[in-house]
Amino acid sequence: MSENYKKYQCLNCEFVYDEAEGMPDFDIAPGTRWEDLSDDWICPVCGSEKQDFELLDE
Amino acid sequence: MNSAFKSTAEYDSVPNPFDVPLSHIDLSDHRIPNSGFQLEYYKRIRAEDPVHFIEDSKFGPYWSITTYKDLQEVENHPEIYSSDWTNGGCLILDGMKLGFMAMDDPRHAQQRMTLMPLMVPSNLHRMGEAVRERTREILKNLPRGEAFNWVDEVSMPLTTRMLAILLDFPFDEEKILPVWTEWSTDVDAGAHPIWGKRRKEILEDMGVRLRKLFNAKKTQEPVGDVLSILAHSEHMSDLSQEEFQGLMSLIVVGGNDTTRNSMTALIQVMEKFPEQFDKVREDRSLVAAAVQETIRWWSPVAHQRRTVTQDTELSGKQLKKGDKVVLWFKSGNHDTSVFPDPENFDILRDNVRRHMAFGFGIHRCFGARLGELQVVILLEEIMNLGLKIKTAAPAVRSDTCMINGFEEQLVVVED
Repeated sequence: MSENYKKYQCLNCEFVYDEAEGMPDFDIAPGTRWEDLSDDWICPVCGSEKQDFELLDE
Repeated sequence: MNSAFKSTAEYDSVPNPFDVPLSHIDLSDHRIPNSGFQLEYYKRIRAEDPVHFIEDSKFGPYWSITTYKDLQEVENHPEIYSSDWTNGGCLILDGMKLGFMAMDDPRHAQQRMTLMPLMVPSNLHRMGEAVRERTREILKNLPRGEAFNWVDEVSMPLTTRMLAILLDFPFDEEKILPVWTEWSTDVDAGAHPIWGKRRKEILEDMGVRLRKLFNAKKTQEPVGDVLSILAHSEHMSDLSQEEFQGLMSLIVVGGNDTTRNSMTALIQVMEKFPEQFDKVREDRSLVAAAVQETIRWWSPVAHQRRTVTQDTELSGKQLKKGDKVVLWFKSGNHDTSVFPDPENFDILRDNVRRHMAFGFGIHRCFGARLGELQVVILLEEIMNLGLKIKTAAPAVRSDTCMINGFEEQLVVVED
């Protein structure tokens, strides 16, 4: 069943954070919402902060 | 400090780029930054030959990439455009080992990830507090009413202290750090038959000194600095001396030189565009945007280099496997198709954060946010103290194609 998960893309390297997938290798469970990511979370590829991500349209 | 073998009279001989055959234009010419024609050179190449080949340069034949679109295209395809030192590395001077910056994935990602904890927001905040204290101290103790070199009295001490914090380097020895930075940065010296040897000796000395500190860290509790993180890491606690030295060169340049030059560029833009900074004084939430626009406008890193790993096409040009490709970020940051009226300083640009001064993609500057933070703090404290800063002479720029840097910016400060 769709949980209406969203995707956010880094504007500095194009890495995509997919809420549905999370980042299990970084102890971020699948289904972790963007807003629930830790305040210390940064782009795993380039180190950008959340302000440099944009919501991807479905 | 490396100007002994360079003649300043050479700068006057740099022609207007519109007066020379296109095929003769070599953007790596170390005289261009001081010639007054840098942006004009970029403008001509972007307009007439944006993927521009030069056969005969001090660094051998290479392609120049000059538009924002093409810079992004190259950086989006690291599998085609390699940074690995075994293919030539990430600078126009071949073969420099600069840690993970001169590696491809997966090693690049593995090493970068090892050091990522340095850059999480909470660690930046911690380091920022020490930076702010030092910034206030330096600004308060500046002479008033007499000319001094902002580079020597502000930019260099601030970034040197930041580098010492990053490395947990003894503060009483920190004066050697900018020496190491300058020699690491000077790729033109690297290509010189005499100065190249001296450069090699100095960088080896740097590697030996830092290795001693690193070795000591192995038996100490980690304290959140670079050497501790490396010493206690799974993948980087046993680097060869050559690799370790290369990584240290990356840290001393990336962690020092680039921010230093942004701090000096800040003085130029505050003077050239005072109405912009009046807006910032009225609304301090604009400080971050002002710093981003400063970094775009100046672009402290002049170039990065990649090597083509398979025949490919870029904007109609055929690039062959093995070709050297040089990315001129300042040109991209002055690309009018992305930044209208780019020589103007406009903190309210919609895309003020979208510049490429820190690069793009997997190799985007590791320390970008730390660099930004230092310049933000400097601007905030200048404003908190109400300092009035005027330049007292034209800047003397660094004589190298690697950075857009400053040797000297004389200023006079009043309260």
